[in-house]
Amino acid sequence: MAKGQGQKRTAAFLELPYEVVCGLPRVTLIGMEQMLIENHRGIIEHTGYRVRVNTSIGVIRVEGASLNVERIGGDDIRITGAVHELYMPGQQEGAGG
Amino acid sequence: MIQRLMRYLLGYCVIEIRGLMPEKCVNIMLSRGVPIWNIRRVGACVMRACVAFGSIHRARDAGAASGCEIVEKRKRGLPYIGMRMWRRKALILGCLVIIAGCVLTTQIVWTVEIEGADRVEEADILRVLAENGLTQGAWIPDIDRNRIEDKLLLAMPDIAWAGLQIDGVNVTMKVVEAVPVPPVKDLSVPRDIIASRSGLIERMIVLDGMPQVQEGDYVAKGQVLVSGTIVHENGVTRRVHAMAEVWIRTYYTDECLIPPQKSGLIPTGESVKVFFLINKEKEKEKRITGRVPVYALSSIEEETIGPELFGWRLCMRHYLEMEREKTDPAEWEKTLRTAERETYRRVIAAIPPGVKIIDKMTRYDMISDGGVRLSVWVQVMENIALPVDIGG
Repeated sequence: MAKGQGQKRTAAFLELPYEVVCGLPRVTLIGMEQMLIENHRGIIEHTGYRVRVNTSIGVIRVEGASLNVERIGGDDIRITGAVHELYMPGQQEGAGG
Repeated sequence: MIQRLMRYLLGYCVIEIRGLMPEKCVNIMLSRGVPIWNIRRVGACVMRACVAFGSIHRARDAGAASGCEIVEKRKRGLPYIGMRMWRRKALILGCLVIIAGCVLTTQIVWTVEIEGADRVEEADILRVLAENGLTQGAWIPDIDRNRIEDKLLLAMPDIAWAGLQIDGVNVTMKVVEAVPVPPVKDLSVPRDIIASRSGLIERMIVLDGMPQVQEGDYVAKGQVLVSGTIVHENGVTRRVHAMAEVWIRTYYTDECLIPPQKSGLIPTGESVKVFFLINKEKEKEKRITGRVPVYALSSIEEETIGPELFGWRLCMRHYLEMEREKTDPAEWEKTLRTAERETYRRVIAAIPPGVKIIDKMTRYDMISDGGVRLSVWVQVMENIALPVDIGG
């Protein structure tokens, strides 16, 4: 049994938050202006129109305009600006948005 | 808002991360626990961010580790202001001195005022207050209100109540004076009540004695109003201490003469010259030329012409028509008002205390010389009961 499957079963059995047990990123989008990414592993790229954030499942890419990292801590990043597109790891270029 | 305020209070530094991989520098800062926020890209290889006060050295280390340069752009917040001020020790000292001066000067008494003292001398009250530590320059926190009020009441029996009020640096001592105890009347002395003034009785209150008049009667000055001798039906005579209030409606008056404002005569321009032959010994005169005019007001100038012959001499009389000089109405009105005020003041001054003023009347009468007679009447209610001891 894979390690991830065991963690999932444990979380389900103990009714614990899935992302906490598995260390998965949690992405919260507030409207089109704010985004909160929890359980990140650092910034890979940050420009005014694109922010790439490393996570345990891969790189999350956010594209938009006037993007700023308003707050960054050990666990979470708050990105502000006009969010136009969000690409999750493994997602194809044309399938986002 | 609160977060921004807290960041300002704690202080922060705006830095620029310059290098090929500023993101790497941010990640190293995060891993080293450097508080960083407001990250934004301002150039191809430049990112701008804010780091907390005191974390700039760790940020530099992180920059060095990632191959980036950390440049301080702005320092904001109270700690940096404090550091800047700390270098200007004279300014800080001056501010502290001013603050201390303000605090000290608001803690001492600047003025001590007394309110409500009419019969009691204010100087005496101030002296008692000074003896108990309340004077100009006294330290306000040390003022014990209750103790000072008690001490003042004990020291000055003429004061019935005292209240100390402190308004900032001004201290006001409010006092209420004790009502003087009226003298004890000796009711054993028999006496009558007589009229101190003539008038028509308006109201009469008899407390003791036999009334000799009633309301509506006209009484003359000196007339007995209430008798202290009471004769009973069985012939027994008893003498009492008569007490009564007898109020009459009367007037106090005064007048003054206001001379005409301008009594001078001025010529109207009309004049006639008449020549006469006059004999003073025979008291005769003969008009030669002209007609004697009839003027209401005139002035005559007489002039002798030539020498006297056989007792007769030639005279020329110059008749000038005159009129009264016109007066300024506003000035005249002001004179009348001033005279009225002055007369009224004299009348009021003549009225004895305890008399109730009811009405006032003013009358102007023109007199022959152009002046005015001003009369002022003040109608009053006066108690005319005058006690007189009964002899024997």
